[in-house]
Amino acid sequence: MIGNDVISLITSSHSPKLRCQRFMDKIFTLNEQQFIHSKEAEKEQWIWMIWSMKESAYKSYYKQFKKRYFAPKMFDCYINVHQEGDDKDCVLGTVKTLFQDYCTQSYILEDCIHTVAFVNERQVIHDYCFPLETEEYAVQANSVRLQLCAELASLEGCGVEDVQIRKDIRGIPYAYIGGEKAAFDISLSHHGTFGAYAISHELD
Amino acid sequence: MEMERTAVIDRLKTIIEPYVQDKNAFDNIHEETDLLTDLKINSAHLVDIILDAEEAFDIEIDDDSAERMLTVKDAVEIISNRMKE
Repeated sequence: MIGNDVISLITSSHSPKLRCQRFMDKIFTLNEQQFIHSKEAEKEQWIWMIWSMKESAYKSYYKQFKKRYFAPKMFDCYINVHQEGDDKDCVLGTVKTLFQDYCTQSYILEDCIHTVAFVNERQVIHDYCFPLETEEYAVQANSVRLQLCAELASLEGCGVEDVQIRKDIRGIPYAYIGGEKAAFDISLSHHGTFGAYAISHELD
Repeated sequence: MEMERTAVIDRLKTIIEPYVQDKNAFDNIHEETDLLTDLKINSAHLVDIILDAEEAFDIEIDDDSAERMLTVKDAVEIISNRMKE
C-alpha cells in the first residue's frame, strides 16, 4: 500500500500558528518536536516535511485498515537520511504506528515537499510532482488525475482513454484499465500550486 | 448558561469557513457534512480549526476528542460536551 502527499511551501509558510506551542503539541510527538527544535534555521521546512510523512503514511494506513480518524501523533516520524542535492534534497524516513511501520521517501524542491510512504521496500514506485496552473480545487484534482492516467497508459501500453481513476465509497482511488480494476496501487495529492501522484506495481 | 446548539453551529461555521475548499458544499452544510471529504478542508487545517474552536468557546479539545472530529455533528458534540464541563 502506498500513500503520497505534496505540500506547497509557498502556501504553508504564512501560518502564524507554526510558532505556537499549542499547535506543535497537537501534531507532533515529543521525538518529532525535539528533532524540529534541533533544526533552528529551517524549522518550518522540517515541520512540513514531517507533516507530509504523517499524511502520506496515513493514506497508506487508511487503505490497509479502512479506519478514519484524526490523530497526527499516532504517526511517529523519524528522519534516517538527508541527502542534499543541487536542485533537490532527498530525505528517507520511517513512520511508526502501533500496527504498522512505513518507509518514506521525500524530495524537498524549491517550493514544495513531496513524500511517498510505502510498506514494502522492494516495491517499484513511480512518483511525480509538478506545478499546477490554477489554485481552484476541482480543476487541480482533475489535472492530477489526467497526469496520472497518462503515466498509467504509458506503463500499460494502452491509450489514455482506456484508463480511469475511480474512488470507492471510502474515497480510496483505484485504477481501471479497459474497465477492469488494474493491479496498480495509486495515490493522488495536490496542495497550493502543486500536484503529485505515486504508482506502485503490486497491490500488497 | 448553556449555549444553544444552533448558536454553536453558527459559531463553528464562521471558524471553518476560511479553510473550506468546496464552497458549494459549505453553502449546503448540514450536521452530517464531512469536514475533510465534503468541505475538502486540508487536514493540516483541521488543527487550525481545533485551535480556533478552543479559543472561541474557551474550552480544551484533547487528543481523544480531536480524533473523532470528522463531521459537523462530531465537532458540535465535542464542543458542547466540553462546554458543560
